Amino acid sequence: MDEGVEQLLSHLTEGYFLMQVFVIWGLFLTGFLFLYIIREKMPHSWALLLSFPMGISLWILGGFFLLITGIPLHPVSIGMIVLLGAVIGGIWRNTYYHWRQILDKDWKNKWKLLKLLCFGSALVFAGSILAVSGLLRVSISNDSVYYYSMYPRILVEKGRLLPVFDSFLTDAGQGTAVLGTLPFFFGFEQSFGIQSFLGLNFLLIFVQAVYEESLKSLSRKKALIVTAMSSLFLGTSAPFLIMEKWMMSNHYMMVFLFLVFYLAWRGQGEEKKSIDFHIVSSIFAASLSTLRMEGGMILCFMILCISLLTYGNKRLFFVYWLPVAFIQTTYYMKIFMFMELNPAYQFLSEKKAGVQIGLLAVLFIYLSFIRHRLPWNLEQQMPGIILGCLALGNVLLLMINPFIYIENIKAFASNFFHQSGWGFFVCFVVILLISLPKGQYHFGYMDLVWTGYFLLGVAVCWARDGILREGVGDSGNRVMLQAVPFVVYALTIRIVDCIKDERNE
Amino acid sequence: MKKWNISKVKKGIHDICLAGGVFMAALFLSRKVFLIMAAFGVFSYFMLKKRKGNKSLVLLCIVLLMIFGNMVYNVFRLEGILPFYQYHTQAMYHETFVEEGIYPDLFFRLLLKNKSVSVRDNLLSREEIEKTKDHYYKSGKSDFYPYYHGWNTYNFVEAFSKEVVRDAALNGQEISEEVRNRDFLDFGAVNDMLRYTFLLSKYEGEMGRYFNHYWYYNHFIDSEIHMYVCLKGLEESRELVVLWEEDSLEHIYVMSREYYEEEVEK
Repeated sequence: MDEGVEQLLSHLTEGYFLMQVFVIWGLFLTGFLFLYIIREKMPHSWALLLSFPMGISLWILGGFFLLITGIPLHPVSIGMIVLLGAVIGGIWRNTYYHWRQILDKDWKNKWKLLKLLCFGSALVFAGSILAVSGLLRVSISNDSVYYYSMYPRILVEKGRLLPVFDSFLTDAGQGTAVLGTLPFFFGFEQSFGIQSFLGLNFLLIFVQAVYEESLKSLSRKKALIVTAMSSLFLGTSAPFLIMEKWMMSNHYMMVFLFLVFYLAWRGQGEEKKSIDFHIVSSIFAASLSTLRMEGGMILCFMILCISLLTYGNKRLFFVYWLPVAFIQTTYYMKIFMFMELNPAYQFLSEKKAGVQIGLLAVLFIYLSFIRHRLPWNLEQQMPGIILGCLALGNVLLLMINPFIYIENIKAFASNFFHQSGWGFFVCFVVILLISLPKGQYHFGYMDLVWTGYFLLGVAVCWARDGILREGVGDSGNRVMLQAVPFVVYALTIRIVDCIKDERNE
Repeated sequence: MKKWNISKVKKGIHDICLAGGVFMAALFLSRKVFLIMAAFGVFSYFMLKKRKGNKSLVLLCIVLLMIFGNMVYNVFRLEGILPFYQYHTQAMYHETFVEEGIYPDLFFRLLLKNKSVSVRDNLLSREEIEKTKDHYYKSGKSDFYPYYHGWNTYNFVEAFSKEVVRDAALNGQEISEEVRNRDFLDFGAVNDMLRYTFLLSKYEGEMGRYFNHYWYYNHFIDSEIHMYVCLKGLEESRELVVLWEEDSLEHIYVMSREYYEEEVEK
């Protein structure tokens, strides 16, 4: 009987393999072209690596814009919005002028971009064939089937958000749902290949990120070894594998969280050289805020952490704050004012939306009037102050509803130590934290992001109005699993510092 | 007389306390894994923090051990945490789901795509529902019954097929137990599929809500509604017939038009 079912499934899905491979390449090509329209100084390696995530972001943001405005959701409409964005970006970045400069130089430059595109496409085709082949195993659950497959299929059918979608408008990340429409618009069934390819792409991004950072302090040989070990450690860790293989929004959150975290770190201090990275960061931050309902809250926290870096207030405002504020506000207005939504059970309520807007307002006040105006010794202590405030916030939540808070902490502890998807990761991180010599170490951006993220995660889960449970599928547990790449990255930087100090002794 | 170096003594006491604390925690947790981790942790601590000189090689060995530990864990434990599937087709429905009786709607959606589907013609209109819902409530079937029974399956078929044809000739047609056991494959329970059809609901207000669908299909109906599919001729056929049971659980029967005309039509 199973053979009959498998044969029938093969017949029903004829042609789907090629469609998905070409869609992956299409997303890469869209991202590549967009990046080269806005690019001025971004290294070619980064442009290639970020093309696919950029393609995904453009699809998500284009679709999200259509859903908010009520314009029918359709690939042509999304394409037109992306094209409009590219034209505006091109005009702003004087693309025509820059391309003339490149093309007027010598014939080699004319072919360079084409060679780069061919090289990138070859890699993408190879990677996508592997990703779509079915060789890589995946896992699906109820949320994968209904929130991220059936709901996007219905979005394709109806073309817009409807009040009857009820709690899906307050519980499901609309960005991930828009991404889930790709199979149904382009004639295939599932998005395993897209997610698996993004996982492979992400590993390469991680490799590049670690290598570049290591090369600043270590010899090439040591940098290569550190990169290989760090990437292998991440790639073999149970949390990363579970996030990468489980068809949920958490994988996309994990990838885009790291991209926002790392690109903010990478893009600091180089001003004009880094504008390309800032534009890309802005688009990734905007996409991140649509992927899950807590996306906006997490991004506010990330902006606070990024404010520790050497960015001007204006840059922070335009690159990070404005996109998040725009997306969150328009979405809340759409569902609570224009659709008058009021489901029986909801993760996002009007009250929570109000709190989110309030946080954005507080962040605005901080960026505009407080940041860089504090006494110097207070500025130096900002990482500790931010962490302290998060800890204090947690204490307040404990006092407001101790039962939910304590039960959630118990659930988190059970999940960490009974290995609900964590494997040996927590133990290894604790061992490294205790064992690594302190040397020149100081608590800064890197460590604030992951320690603060855990405190924020506890707070966000408290706001769910329900108690967490022990199990890999618990949403609080999955929110924590998303943080694994930047924990590994922060630890790698500590190890690089340790080895670098040793060289200097 | 040898003078004691106070700071070294303090550090030594600190190390012993730390090692002791770790072992106590591991004993308390009473798991072999944590004992091994504790031992590994103490080893790493002394090799990295206490050892002077080149630590790069030691770090490399420790990280390699961690990677090895990860790989061992993945091979022996990961599958027990989350079920993983290797797909031989491009569907989201995996062939083993038939045995497990899960996610039949994934198969159903794929099957309906680009097909013309015939269904019964006797679904109640809004006016008829308003008139008769109290009767269903009094008879113990719940006043939700006329709103949902048949309609939710219909909405699902309408959304995911090429076209739906309401055929009066299908009214009253049933699949006997004998035919079902002989020719139909049980794909499992569709309660979840039906509760999520709230997304396709044509009702505004309470009846269209997720909560009511959830309550009706997962609590009020406290048994499983199944989907039975006849695979004969399904591969070639462009037309399907979908029947649902009436006056009982909404078991769904899916078959090709050709099979229906040969074997079922009276």
